[in-house]
Amino acid sequence: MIDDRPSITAEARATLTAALTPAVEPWPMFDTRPPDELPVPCVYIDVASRRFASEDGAPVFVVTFPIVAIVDGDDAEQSRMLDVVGDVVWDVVWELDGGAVSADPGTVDVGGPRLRSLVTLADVVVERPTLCNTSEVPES
Amino acid sequence: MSKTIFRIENGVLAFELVDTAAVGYLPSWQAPMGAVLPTVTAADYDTAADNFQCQVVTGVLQSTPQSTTENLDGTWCDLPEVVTIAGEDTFAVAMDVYQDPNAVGLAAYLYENRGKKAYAYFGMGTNPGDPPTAIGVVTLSAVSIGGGRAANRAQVTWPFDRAPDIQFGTPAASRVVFGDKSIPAIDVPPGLAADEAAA
Repeated sequence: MIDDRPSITAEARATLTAALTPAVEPWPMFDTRPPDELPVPCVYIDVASRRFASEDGAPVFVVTFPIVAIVDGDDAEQSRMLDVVGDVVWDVVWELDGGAVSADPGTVDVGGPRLRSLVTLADVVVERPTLCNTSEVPES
Repeated sequence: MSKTIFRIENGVLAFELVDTAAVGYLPSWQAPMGAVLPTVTAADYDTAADNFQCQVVTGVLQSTPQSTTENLDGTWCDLPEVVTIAGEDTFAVAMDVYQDPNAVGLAAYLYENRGKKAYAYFGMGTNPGDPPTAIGVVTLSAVSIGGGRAANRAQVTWPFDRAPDIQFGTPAASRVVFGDKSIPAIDVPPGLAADEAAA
């Protein structure tokens, strides 16, 4: 049953959210895109993608989370604040098992004007299969 | 005829230090207390090795052919010649492992026991303990520790003192081929232990 299955992706999303929440204060941090009109400024994690990858020859399962940061204000202010929050998000993701892959500008419809955004792609290694076929190598 | 694809999904790696003071010890033992395939299991080995396989990315039973050459001088009626003399293959277990510098773990075990002889159990079957399985005596050596921010790994090779005993096949039908070529191989029907098969 899909409801009973533990989700390593959901677990990774929760870990990422917990790491980002204090770092982006006082901006609100959401683990998914909030419904309806977006409160700005804010940071949220969008739909994850996943892939099988090879890490120096070892198989790994990688989930990529788009972390979306949005800020209001005039154009210059948006750009300056996205620089700041982008650095914060990048540092947090760097501490995770995986790391930030890239951060690119975009725009988001917040229910009125389209605001500038910064989307940081965060790779999280959710599984490193070994010969015992367990879900995770113990951290040393 | 369909091809066979071999993958290790649930490998087993276990060690037990060789105890030459064990009752009835014989240098020909390939497993603790003289246990043999297919009845020997990982449970017969050191319990400290219970989770070693969880560190292993790849494990290979390496076989290396050995040969020497002899140069024969030419004579009045023959050209010079190089004669190849084949020797017995040598074997080793080669592992690529995630480093685990914990108080209790593969790295600590190997460092503490480096240079010692140990019985090794290397299972490669679909389920833990299923054939193919190799057992024998290896010399332990330590693994490297360190690297960078990535998940650090290390490569290590433990040479077998002599050819290991290998159980080929599956639980449904397997064949134990002994490293000592003077001992005939035995076919093991499902549920039949090696000593019964030999009888």
